[in-house]
Amino acid sequence: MIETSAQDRLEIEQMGVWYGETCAVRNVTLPINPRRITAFIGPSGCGKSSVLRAINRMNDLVPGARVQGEIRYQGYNLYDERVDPVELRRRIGMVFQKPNPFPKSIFDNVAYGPRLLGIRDRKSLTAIVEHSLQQAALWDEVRNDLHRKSGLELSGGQQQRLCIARALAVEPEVILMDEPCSALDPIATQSIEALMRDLVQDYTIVIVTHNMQQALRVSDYTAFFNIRKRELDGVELRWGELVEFGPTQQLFDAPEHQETADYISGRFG
Amino acid sequence: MKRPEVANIPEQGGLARRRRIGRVWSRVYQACVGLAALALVILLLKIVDDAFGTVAVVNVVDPASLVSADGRSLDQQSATELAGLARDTLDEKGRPYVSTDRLFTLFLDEVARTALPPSALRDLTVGQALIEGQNFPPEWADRSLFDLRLPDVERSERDAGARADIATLLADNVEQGRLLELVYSDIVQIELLESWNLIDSLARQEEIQARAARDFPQATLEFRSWLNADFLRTPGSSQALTSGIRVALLGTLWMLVIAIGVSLPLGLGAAIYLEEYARDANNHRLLRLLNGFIETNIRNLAGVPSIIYGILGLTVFVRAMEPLTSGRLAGMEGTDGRTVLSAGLTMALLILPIIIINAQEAIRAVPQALREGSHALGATRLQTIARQVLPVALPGMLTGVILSVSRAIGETAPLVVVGAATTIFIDPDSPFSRFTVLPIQIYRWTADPREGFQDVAAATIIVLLLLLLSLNATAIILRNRYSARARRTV
Ligand SMILES: Nc1ncnc2c1ncn2[C@@H]1O[C@H](COP(=O)(O)OP(=O)(O)OP(=O)(O)O)[C@@H](O)[C@H]1O
Ligand SMILES: [Mg+2]
Repeated sequence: MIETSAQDRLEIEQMGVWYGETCAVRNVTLPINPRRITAFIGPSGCGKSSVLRAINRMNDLVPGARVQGEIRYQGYNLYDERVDPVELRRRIGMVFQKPNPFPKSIFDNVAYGPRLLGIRDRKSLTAIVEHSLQQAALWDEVRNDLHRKSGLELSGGQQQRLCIARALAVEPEVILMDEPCSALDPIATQSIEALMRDLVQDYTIVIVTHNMQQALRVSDYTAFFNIRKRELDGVELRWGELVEFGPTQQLFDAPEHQETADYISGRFG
Repeated sequence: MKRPEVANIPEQGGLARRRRIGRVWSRVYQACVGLAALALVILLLKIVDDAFGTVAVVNVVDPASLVSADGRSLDQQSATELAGLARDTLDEKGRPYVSTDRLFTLFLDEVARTALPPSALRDLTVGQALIEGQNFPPEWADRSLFDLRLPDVERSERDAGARADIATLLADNVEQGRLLELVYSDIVQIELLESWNLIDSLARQEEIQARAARDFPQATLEFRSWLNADFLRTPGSSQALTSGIRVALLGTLWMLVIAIGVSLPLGLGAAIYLEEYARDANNHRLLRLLNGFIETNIRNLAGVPSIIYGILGLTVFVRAMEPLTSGRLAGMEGTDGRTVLSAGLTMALLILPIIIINAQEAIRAVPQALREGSHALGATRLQTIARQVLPVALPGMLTGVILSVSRAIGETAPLVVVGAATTIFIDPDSPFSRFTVLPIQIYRWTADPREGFQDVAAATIIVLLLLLLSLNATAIILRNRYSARARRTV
């Protein structure tokens, strides 16, 4: 692997996410390398989404959610008081686990972000919308319904691609994708994977996936999370932890931990 | 656990019984709907029954006795002749049917057309009061306008002179039709002898005719719709036949506009705060506690009896804020705080919880995923609220407006407490006017034992219901338009 500039690297350090009194995930230390794809894998509930949402401070919107530790990016701790979360989210975009198109036309969905940035002129907006939809492999299916159809009138997979297009339209530096292909058919999945390989020339991508093959196919690095349990006064506590992080090929071929090997080969539980 | 033996399906026997029970219950539910519908139909029937029907009316003065010397009937007489009738026709006791004050008022309304209050007229001359192009003897130009009116001294003599002068001015400047109306309403005076309901009028027509022929031989029978255009146009009166609801209708509209105008922005603001800001993690703990306390109590406020809001309005708006609500601060010469502004503000308080609760629910129903999606694209909280939350929540908020309009339009008790007038003939024309509203008018007329006022009350109820329905229909159309737009493109 080629080493990349440390400046644009996201450094997650000793990070943990808490919801109220319960810890969802902790002990997470890993780098997210610029212009590479990093995959998060692990069993359901181990905190992959929580870590992902901590990176662009979506957890600020959840009452009672707290983030411990540090996430460093371009020389700042993202949770520093001086960091403007709004500006941060413009640079670190997100595609959610459940598709969440706005109840607006397809065009307005994609143009939403650019409009927030103050782009008003019709021609530029049209160009951005077309380009983003093409990138998300949705253009051909919706080109005639841009203004007529609401984002909610698309199929689940189309909605997810709309959300990807929407995130691309603001040209972030980092794109966080939470299971972007879970609602897609193999053909659409293929085009999204191709898109990711394409985008990674310019963007840093983090993807959560339950599909080992997908992690293997697209990602450069993989982080494996697992669930830890402990009995305390008769109550079972569960939280997630990062088990292993490394270049994808290496992690799949020669995992350092037995539980990683078990999970990858499907001998989990 | 042992599962029960599966019985032979066709022979299990429970099926017929279950079906029977199911049928009985579905009949019971049907009957509930039927009873409710029946109650509504009876209510409507009762109202319609009162609002239309046969009336027996008689003229106090027979129009035939008012024909001109050459035999022309009233409608064929000229303005001068009619003004003469108004000036000269006397009742049995020798008093004029049309008082000098009445003539003078007509003169002010129709000729002088001045917006000045009567007290200011004292200083005007006839020349100043009359609009250019109107006719008056040139030597009257410098006469004080007030001089035309009944003076204290030498009453009868000067009164006669004033009557003659006003009548001349009226004859020269007022349309014949208006004077004809005056003669009919003040001299001919249609009097209501008896009024029958719609069902009686239809079913027992002959009986009614026989009775009328026996008891009131001079009377004419006619079918009357108590709800008519004049009814909407005229103010109240001591006669059922000439009573109208203009003042009450305007009062209700003024009150609604003020109430909604105040409570809608307040309520939406409060709902946005409670839903979008109150639970913020970085709010101080005490503030969060306070917010929670407020939120639970808004629900209780919606259930507080309306009379209590009336008492609140009386102490706060009518008494404590009197300089404002009486209009004195705005430079009006209002007398006290019992104005339509006080009423509107009281009603605004009353409907505020309804608006807040509905807006809160509408905002809460907006999926969190939309807010997150918006934030993830770099929207600020204000932008997210304005572009995502409010458009989606708007239809639900309008539901609150519908509910509160329905509530406000029918409330009586709190408005009685804040001093709605029971008898008032002057239109409310500013927030600082004295006022009455439709339900109070209905209450007053229903309680009036004189012939015909039950029917007037019924006609008022129909107007109130129609007003309610049309306001609600407007809100529902708006709501459907918005929710259709929110579903498709915004
Ligand atoms: N908003 C929240 N409030 C409270 N607890 C939460 C919240 N979101 C997640 N959690 C908890 O945090 C833990 C981790 O959840 P998270 O969604 O991060 O898991 P995940 O690895 O993404 O799972 P999946 O693969 O099913 O998406 C879970 O136990 C979950 O119950
Ligand atoms: Mg998840």
